[in-house]
Order: sequence, then structure tokens, then C-alpha cells
Amino acid sequence: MDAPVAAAGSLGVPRRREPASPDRAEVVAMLAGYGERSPEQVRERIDSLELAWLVHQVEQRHGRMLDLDDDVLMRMTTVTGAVEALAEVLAEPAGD
Amino acid sequence: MSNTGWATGAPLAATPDWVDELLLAGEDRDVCLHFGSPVDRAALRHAVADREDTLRRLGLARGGSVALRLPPSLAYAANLLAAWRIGAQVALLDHRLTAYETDRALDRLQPQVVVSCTGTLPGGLRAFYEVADVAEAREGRPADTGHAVVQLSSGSTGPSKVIARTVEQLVAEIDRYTRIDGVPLPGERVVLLASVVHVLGLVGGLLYCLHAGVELVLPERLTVDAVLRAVAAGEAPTTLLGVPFHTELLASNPNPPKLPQLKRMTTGGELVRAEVAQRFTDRYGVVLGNMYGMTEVGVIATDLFGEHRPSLLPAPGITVREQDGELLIATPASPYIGLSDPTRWVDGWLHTKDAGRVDPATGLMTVLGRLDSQVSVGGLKVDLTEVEHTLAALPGVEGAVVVFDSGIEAFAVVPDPAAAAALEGELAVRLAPYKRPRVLHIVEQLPRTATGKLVRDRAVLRTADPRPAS
Repeated sequence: MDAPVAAAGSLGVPRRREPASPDRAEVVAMLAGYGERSPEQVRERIDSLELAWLVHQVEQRHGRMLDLDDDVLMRMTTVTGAVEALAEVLAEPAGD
Repeated sequence: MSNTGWATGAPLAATPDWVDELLLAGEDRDVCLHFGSPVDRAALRHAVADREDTLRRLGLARGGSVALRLPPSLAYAANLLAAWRIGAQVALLDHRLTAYETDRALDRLQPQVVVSCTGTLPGGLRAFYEVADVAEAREGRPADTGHAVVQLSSGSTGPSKVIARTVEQLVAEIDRYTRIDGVPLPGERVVLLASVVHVLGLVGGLLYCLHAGVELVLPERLTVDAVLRAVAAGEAPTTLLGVPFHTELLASNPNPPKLPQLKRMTTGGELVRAEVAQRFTDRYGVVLGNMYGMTEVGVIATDLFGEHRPSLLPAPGITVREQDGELLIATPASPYIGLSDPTRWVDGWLHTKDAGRVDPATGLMTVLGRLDSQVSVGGLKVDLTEVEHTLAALPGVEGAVVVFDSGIEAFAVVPDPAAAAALEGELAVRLAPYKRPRVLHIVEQLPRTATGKLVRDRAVLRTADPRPAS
């Protein structure tokens, strides 16, 4: 029988590797999904609707809920800020 | 389809005690609201009495005027109902307005009392806030008119329009809701995603639910997870009430949990795109309903079973007609204070500025889009002319055009680099966040037609030479 592909975690459960935090192009692509826009139509500034959309897309992609407090969300009002904040949040271990 | 909802009796009446009789009545332990934690009728009545005492001590009396500058919160609901119990006129100011916009609104409305909240609001996709409200008396004047509520609307002439409604009109709208097939029934729940400060969430959400005995739930946050948790938190049949964005957001979840209590989602504002509507109904297995309304009138027409899409059936008591391709609504009096623009209300007809048609055979109406420069940003109406006038009036701006293409976009001629650099900051002082251009292009000159008129075609505007970096 084949050995487990991934190194086991502390409970002996193979751990799925989480995708890297999204880069700028990926954040823009996710935002473009709202309203089925082209990436060129995505603006630097992220409004509250787009932010709700982006958070959900990242959660879907990473298969985990993000622990986003008010300070983090306030930083995610631009594409640049969102890329930075997501990198920090996703570097933290999942809360579950 | 007939409009034979659960209310088949005589129409509701607006009495001096309408708040107590139509909104606050009910068993003490009956949970009516859910702002983070359940609020029963005894607690709500207590909160209202507490605010009423405060407002009266500040001198607010019948026929007086008060402005609420509060975010969606229990404090907002309590102050609103308290002021109405007193018989005062309430001006609702969106808490997202800038200090500059709020000052202008207060100058215009001259309320005797302003209720606002202390401290800085937390950010982050909140559907409601827990705030400490503070009421302050000011050198205002009593209400000029007998209206119960006044709201400001983004105006095509730059400054806001003042839209006013009487108690009778509010009660008539609540009554309309009770007579529409498919509305949430007594004992059911509504999870509200739209703002409780604007007409859909205010009357369709707060007032209707209080009247009908429907529990009104605001999710902890406006994220997919929090919204679905709010639905799952109760067993009673639940309706989601929001705007098209919320449908698109929820429909993007490929594997939503099973929610047997979810009965329907209803959206106000523009129509949900067909493919999004299909995706939503496929994934959640519930009906997607649609409503059309205006701040001036409230709910005008509905299609709560999604069976007439894209058309709607006028709500009971509403008369709609089509004139020169525009939808007109029968309204006995002008809903505007201080506005004599005959293009908005004339001879008992309100001009919606929405293009549309009415099928004489079925009575169904279809909305085909705006006839003016108003756009919808997340369900909030913004007049591009207001944005353009504000931008054009800023120091150093020689010309400006504002257009909309999935977001507000501005093109401005600003020769002085320092003025150009300051532009975004200046706009942030004067315009609420949802009204601000998402992108601001500084250009050498604005394209014009052969006769000198500014071109508003976005494709042409995008060819304008950007101002070279200096």
C-alpha cells in the first residue's frame, strides 16, 4: 500500500496543502467575478459590496472561514490593502 | 394572481396612537427584533419609552422636528418610534454621510433635536451596530409640514431633494404589504440585508415586521457565512430581504448548507440578472421574488413568486400608468418639500423617471431603466449629477464628467498638480463613500461634440489624454 502523500498532522490526519494567499492579479480576478466584469473594470478602491464578495471568494478558495476583525476589514478597502491583509490573515493557522 | 394576502379586513387606520396600536402592540415575551441578541416587545417598549423621555426633556413636542443620524441599530429603531409616539417629524440621515453633507442637511432641515452616536463606528461589513446614542437640542424650528418622516435623496440639481411621507402614507404602505401574496406571515422570520434606514428595510423590514408579528433578524455581518447562520438560527419559515447584490453574493456559494426554513428571497431595486437568479434558485431551492419601489411611495409593485419576471404586479391600492414611455404613479400630493419642479409631480401623478410599460390586458408593469442620471450603488440611489456638480465645484477643477459603468467613474480637467492631488481628499469631505467615484481620471481636456457639448460616452472619454505627470 502506498504511504500517505502528505506528512501527517499531529492527529495523524493527512493535511491538505492550502493555496498560497492570493496575489494582486488573483484578487482582481476574484473581484471581477462580481458582476462578471473584466479585470480591467476592477478599480483599486474596494467598496463594501465588493469586500463581502472578495471575503467569500477567498473563503471558498481556501476552504476556511477567515477571522477578519474590523481593523483588518478596514485595511481591505483597496486592492493593495486587501492583498497585504489577506497575506497576513492566511499566514495564520486556521481557527478550526 | 389575486392579492389576497393574510389581511382581508378593513384597511389599517392612522390614529394618534398608531405606533402603539400598529407597531408596538403584542405580548411582552414576543421576540420581535434581533440586533445581535433577541429583543422582545417588553424590551422594545422600554427602549422606546426611555428615548421618548429623553426627547421630551429636550423639548421635543408634537409637531416638533428631530433628525436621526444613527446607523442601523436598536437605538435607531427606538428613537424613531419614540419620536413618532411624540408626534414629531423625523428626518433620517444616512450615517455614512460626511460631516459636510450632514451639516448641509441640518442647515436645510433645521431640526430642533439631533440624535447621533458617540465614538467611532467599527468598520467591516456590519448589518447593524451597537451604539451609545446621544440626543442634543439645537436652535431649530418645528416641522414646517405635517409629515412624519423626511428623507434626503441624491438630487439631479446638485443638492438633495427632501422627500416626505405622512403617517397615513406609512400606514397605507404597511397595509399594502399585508395584502400582497407572498409576504412573510405572522410567526415567521425576516433576515434583513438591506439598510433599515432606507425605505425597503424601514417599511418592508422594520415597520411591517413589527406590525405583522414577524421576527426581524439582522445578521452579525453582511458575509455569506453570517447571513446563512442567521437564517439557520431559527426554525420558523424565513425570508431573506435584500438588494440584487446580496442575491449575487449568496448565489456565488456553490454548496450552501441545507436550510429547510428558508422560504424565499426577495430583493428590491433593480432586477437581479437572469443567470444570477437561476443560479440562486438552483442552489437554494427557493423562490426569488422581486419588488419595485421608491422612497417617495414605498412599495409599488411586486413579483414575490418570480412568476412574472421581469414584470411586476402593482401592489394593492397603487395605480400605475405609462406616459411617453415613463412610469407614473398616482399620488394625491407631492412627496417633495420645497421643490416646485413640475417634471417630478404634477396633477396627482408622480413621475418615476423610470422608463417602463404597463400591459393594459394584465395590468403588469415592466421597468426598463432610468430616464435620468440616477444610478443604484448597492441599492442606494445616487444621482451622477450631484457627484459631477460636487467635483466640478472643487478648487482647481476646470471641467468634470461623471459616468457609470459597474461603478462611478469621473474624468476631470485639473491643470494644477497640487489641486489634482488634493481632489480625492476633497471629495471624501463632501460625498458619502457610496457616492464617490471609484476611479478618478485627470485628463488634459474633456471630449466634446461638434456643437461643444460634453461627451458622456465612456468609451470616448477613456480616449481622453491623461494629464502628463509634471
